[in-house]
Amino acid sequence: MNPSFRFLAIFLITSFTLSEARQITFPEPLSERIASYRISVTLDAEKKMLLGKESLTWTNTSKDRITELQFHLYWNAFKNTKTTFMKESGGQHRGASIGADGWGWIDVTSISIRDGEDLKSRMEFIRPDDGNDMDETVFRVPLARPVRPRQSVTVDIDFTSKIPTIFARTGFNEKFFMIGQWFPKIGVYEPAGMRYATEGQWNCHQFHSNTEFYADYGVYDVDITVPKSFVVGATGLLQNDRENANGTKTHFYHAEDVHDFSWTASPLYKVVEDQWQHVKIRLLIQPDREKSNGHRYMHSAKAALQYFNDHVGKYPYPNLTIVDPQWGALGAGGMEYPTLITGGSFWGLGEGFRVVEGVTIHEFGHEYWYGLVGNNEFEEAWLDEGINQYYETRIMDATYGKKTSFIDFFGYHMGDAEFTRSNYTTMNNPKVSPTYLNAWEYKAGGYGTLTYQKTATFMTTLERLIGPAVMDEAMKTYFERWKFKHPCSRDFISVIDEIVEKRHGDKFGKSMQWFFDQVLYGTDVCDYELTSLGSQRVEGTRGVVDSAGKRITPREKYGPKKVDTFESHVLVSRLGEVKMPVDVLVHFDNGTEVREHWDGLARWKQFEYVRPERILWAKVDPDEVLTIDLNLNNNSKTTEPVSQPIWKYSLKFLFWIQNTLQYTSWF
Amino acid sequence: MTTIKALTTGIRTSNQSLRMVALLYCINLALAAILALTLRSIISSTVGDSMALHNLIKDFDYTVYSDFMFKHGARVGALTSQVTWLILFSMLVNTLLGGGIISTVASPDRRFSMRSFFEGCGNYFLRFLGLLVIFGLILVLVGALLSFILAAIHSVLTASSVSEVIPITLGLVLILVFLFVMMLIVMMADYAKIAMVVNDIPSVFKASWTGMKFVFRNFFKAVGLQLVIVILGILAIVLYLFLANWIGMATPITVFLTFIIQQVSVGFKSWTRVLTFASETTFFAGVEASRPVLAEVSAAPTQEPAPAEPVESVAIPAPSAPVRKKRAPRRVPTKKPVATRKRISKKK
Repeated sequence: MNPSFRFLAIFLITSFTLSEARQITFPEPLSERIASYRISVTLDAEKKMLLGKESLTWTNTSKDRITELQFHLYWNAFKNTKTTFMKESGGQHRGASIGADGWGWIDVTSISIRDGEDLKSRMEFIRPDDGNDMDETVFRVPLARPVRPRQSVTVDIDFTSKIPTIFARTGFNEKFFMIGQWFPKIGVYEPAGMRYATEGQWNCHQFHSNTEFYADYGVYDVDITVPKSFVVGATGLLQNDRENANGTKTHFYHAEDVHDFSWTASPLYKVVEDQWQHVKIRLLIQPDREKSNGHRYMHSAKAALQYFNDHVGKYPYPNLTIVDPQWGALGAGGMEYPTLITGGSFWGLGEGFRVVEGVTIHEFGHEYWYGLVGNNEFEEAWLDEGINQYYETRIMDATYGKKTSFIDFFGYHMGDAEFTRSNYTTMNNPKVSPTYLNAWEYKAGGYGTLTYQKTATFMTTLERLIGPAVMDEAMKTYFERWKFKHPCSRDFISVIDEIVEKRHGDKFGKSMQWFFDQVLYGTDVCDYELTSLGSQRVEGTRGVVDSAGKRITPREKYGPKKVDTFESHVLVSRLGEVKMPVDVLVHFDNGTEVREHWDGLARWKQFEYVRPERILWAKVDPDEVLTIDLNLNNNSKTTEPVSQPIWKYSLKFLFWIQNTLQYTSWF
Repeated sequence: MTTIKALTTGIRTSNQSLRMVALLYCINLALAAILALTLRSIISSTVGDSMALHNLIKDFDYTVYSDFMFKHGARVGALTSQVTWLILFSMLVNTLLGGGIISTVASPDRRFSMRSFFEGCGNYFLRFLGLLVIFGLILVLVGALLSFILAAIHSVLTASSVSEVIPITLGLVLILVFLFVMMLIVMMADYAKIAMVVNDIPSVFKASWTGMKFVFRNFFKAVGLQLVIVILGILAIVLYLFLANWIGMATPITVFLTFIIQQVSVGFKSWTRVLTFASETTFFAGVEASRPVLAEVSAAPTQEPAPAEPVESVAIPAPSAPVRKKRAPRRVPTKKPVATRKRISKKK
């Protein structure tokens, strides 16, 4: 054999072997693996371009004959000012604006069925949501040969992409690259009976300002070629890498049972690694921040891993990558992808401001709600954002203190759950929209607060109504039943109903639908008030009383002690339209208490007592079950107010004014 | 006149004028109390009988605060919007009082008396008001221009920064530069007032110019003096924060104690204000007294000269002989013939 030929053969075989030597992560598939991708992509770091070759193997798991395929081209949302995304966002998103030369796009240069028809000429952009003909984020390709039930089809796609400047979670800043939603991605085919589909249909929405993503699970094999000095992080496990003659390096990644693949590259990353049980945590952090924030990222990630493990279910993947975006690229922070999350931190950020921890715990939570339980983020964003925000509050408060978990600075502090609640309760118009709404239909605003904070708040209320143990059981059941699948709101409520009935019988009625009808599907607000209370002395009986057929004096009947008593009342009112069962606790001046229960349906209820004791104070909802109550300060009243806190804050205010006058009047 | 001497004299003067310090403190307290008592009334009438206030006894409670501010924040907001008007009023009051303070500390015996204090307030109020307008405009214009320039510098130097260390550090440095320039302008205003009183300058423009010149001519000493006083103020704040954090306000006694410490802190700042004027006045007077008096040489008169007034001429000293400083007597400004002046050099 010619030596050169022998060398070439060895090189090719070695390369093929290396690239093909995928470490199998799960011996048995965890999901149906409907959409699996093999992608080769090269980053041109100077021109900010991607050149990609993709092979998609899509399996028709329905009983329908599929006559067309629909794909997302998310990056076309950044093409110009007339796309749906740019029109809705006004060019601003998550605090970032697209730069003058920062536009992005993705072009499919060829698309064909493997060993079959060329589909390029049949590509057609569609606008299923708003008919905006400048929007090119969804295309369809009709198939000459339908895909039969249980049949798979392999589609080969070549594409080029222009990377936008960091905007809407993805893009570049200098030599920092965060690459998400970057390849032609097939939509989800929902057969009849799945979620709300009454007949088989593609669920492939345009990319809107408020929407995120929805895709099927599969296996990803991606090789990423970048300049050799770049550090790369990606979904899945690194299999191997190879240096190329042209100064680049190719990194081979493999990820199983995920529904998305993202990656990042930067020459500046410092790599920090740690381990939690079976999970290897790899932190890609900016060098300046390693000392101040590295341990914060790791500690909070481990806290989240442990909490979810204890309260929800096992994190199945062997790895987690955390990306710390560089200065100027914070628009890429606070985002989730399967096994890869982006955080956010600053050099010098004090430990009393737990932004790093909050973002890390929140984004990790998305590995469960969205990653493992694959809800449709376009149509039911609350199922991941809201439920995840609820878990963020639980984990933050459990780890860093109920009243100090978010901010703890110079005596002023704020817990994550109470901050989350206050975002909802202080909305200008909490009735603006229901929480259950397509993400792009919040035309009057409120998407963020209603989806995240209101949901988290009513989930906390639900937990306190049914009890933490029952809530955990319900969430564990929901997770186990729906992981690697696509549930809808109805499926979630159904699980809640099942577990509540199992543990509480009909205490809350036949179903918890009454609860979700008000807080999820409705727009009404909750506000219970302790309207008034008081005690009036009733003078002892005078005159004569009958006893054993005789007429005697009260003193002779009741004895020498005073027979005065008090007639007391407690009036509670329902100021909001939301009706919830609620307790009322009444405390008398001799220390005794009475706990009443009210169904909360009527506009008001009065409790009356005739006792020798006076009422000292009373509280409606004394256990603060109803966190969705807009005003907790009016839930109680006392006949003996304390003045110390009033003086305390008035004097602080006095001091603040005095200082302001002194400093501004110095001149 | 050294900075230390000016400072020590200033301290002595301030200590001799504690009644004046008390007056300033009481006026500050009275102005601030108007709003503070109103806030107390708002809290009391809205949530005063709620058990939620119990959560605020020992500690801050964000939920109680947040619900209160959402429900009643409009009333609190209306109150805090009055702070702007109060600040403006306070500036006028302090302009009035400034004349009294400087008159007192510039007087030969530096003793405070209510009568002379308020006389000083009345004598200089309008002129000090003029200075307030002039230096207020300078502050705004210079502040705006400087902000623009510094922001541009920051933007250019950090345009391609990939780490926030440089933008943050540079930003802090530029903020300090900005504050320093603002401090210089405030100093010029102070010395303009002092010059107006010490040299009895009727013209606000001349006094302004005198103040500016004085600061630049004695830059390092003047800035040094000001920085010492600023540092005193910062130390007082740090001490207060430490004490307040340590004592807390969790019981009625600690609320009262913290209140006392707060008012001591405010009183100390009032004393510092007097100290500033006293030190600056001492410094100004000392420097002015050591300035050479210019001898006037008549040229061909172009107009009728004013009636001759006795002016002492300064003899040219021997090179090694120290010059005895003599201040010219105070004169009512009149039109003088244009004359050439010959600067007589002397050894200090």
